Amino acid sequence: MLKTIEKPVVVREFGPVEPIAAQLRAGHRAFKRDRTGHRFEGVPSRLTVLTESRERQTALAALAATDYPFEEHLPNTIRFFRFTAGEYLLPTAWRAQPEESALHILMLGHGPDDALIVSLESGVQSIPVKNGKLISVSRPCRFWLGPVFAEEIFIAVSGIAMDGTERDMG
Amino acid sequence: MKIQSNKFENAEEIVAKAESYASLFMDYPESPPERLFNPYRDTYDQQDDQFHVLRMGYNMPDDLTELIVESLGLSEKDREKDIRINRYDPGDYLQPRRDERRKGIFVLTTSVHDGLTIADEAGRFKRITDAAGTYIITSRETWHWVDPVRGGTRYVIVTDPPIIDRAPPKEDDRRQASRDGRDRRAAPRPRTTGILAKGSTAVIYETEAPEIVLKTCWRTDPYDTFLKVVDQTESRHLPVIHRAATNPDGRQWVELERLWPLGEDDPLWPVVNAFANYCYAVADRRPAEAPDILSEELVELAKVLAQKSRRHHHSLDLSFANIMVRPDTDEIVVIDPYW
Repeated sequence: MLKTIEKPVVVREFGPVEPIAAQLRAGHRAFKRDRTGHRFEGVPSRLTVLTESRERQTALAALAATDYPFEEHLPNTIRFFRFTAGEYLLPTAWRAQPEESALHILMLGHGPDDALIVSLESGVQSIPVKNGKLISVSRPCRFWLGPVFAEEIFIAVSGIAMDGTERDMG
Repeated sequence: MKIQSNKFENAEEIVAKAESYASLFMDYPESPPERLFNPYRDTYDQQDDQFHVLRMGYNMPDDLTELIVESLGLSEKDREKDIRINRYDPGDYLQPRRDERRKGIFVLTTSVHDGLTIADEAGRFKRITDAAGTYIITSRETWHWVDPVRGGTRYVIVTDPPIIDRAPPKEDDRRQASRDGRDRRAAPRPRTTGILAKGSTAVIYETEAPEIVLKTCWRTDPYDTFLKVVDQTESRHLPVIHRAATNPDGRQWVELERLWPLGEDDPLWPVVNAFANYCYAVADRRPAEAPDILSEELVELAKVLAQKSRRHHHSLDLSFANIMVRPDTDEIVVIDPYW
């Protein structure tokens, strides 16, 4: 439960995630270039997002079958991002809304040379990309990933706006 | 931004000497930041960064200074610049930031994990993995950062402003400059032209680069547009921010919300706006008449871009198109490595 989170960043092994990753890999054609959100100072990130589709519903169902911490996030607010080599998520600001909620990032794929960077008041953390790792952040932060070296990485993110209406998240 | 590999040779010797003076490095920042963390903050300030500095003329010993001067071939004038060695221990980092001035970065160490993440001329971010001997000249106002270091200790020399080679111009260039009646070594000077638009003027800077006097970089998608004018030493980013909205009938439209630092009275303003909107109209196969202010070249360019977008993306995306105008022929060239 989120309220038990004491450290600003909690990293834990989560799984099994292979059924979810398999769904995402199989449905990679449903990932589309994101043109609305994830801008840093007006510059768009370079990644693709799983759009509303049968593939997305299948991936969500696979995620729902796990103990993913949905508590404060509706399943339809989960975003699936796909990165291929050279693609990146630019620094994205996050602040809890509501205050007790958390940002959850689930890594689906292995990138031995890649790391998710989380910048908080207490400093900057580098979290190597490893399949099944779940990162929960409960403080205002800025996070980014890449440009990645791995051929293909997916991440599932909850706790950020889904419809692109939020202000530039830089 | 310019990147040059194998610019200098004895990085190892510099690192070894710098390591022998490890205790002299100044920790950065000197004290913890006294304000609340703001994830939306502008990152000009460095209070949240973490690395260590040895600065020429301050805490850098003379023998290390001389070694760097000799290794990099610095002139007396270069020595007046702000030159420092930055040391990043494992876990150290430079938060996303941009500088008002260009900087030179001499990479002293090699790592498969660590390096500089930086936007290129087209606004696309790249990671320049550390390779000793590499020299990077950053552009003004370019966002860049160093992720927490994962490999061994990372060393770079940073110069502000960058060290520029002063190789004498080739004889052919001098003869050409003489024929042109201009001195290419002179500071860029503005002139006006009708290339970009009929009925308006655009400022063009002549540069030392023999092949380009103007580089415009249109970075447009349905939500924003950038125009970048580049001369050989500096660049000017002119972002045009549009606000997207949806009409009651579901059609999307864009509204010019902010054009900065161009003012509405800037001669480029109507050109940027008209060109972007005309491009979208052509790409969407919507009926559109080219606005009078667009030159024939830009009208043709819009058609080319629309054709390319239909062939490759099915929707117009000029995000990373480089559009250049050659001075000798006035030819417009579109370069996009991703098309």
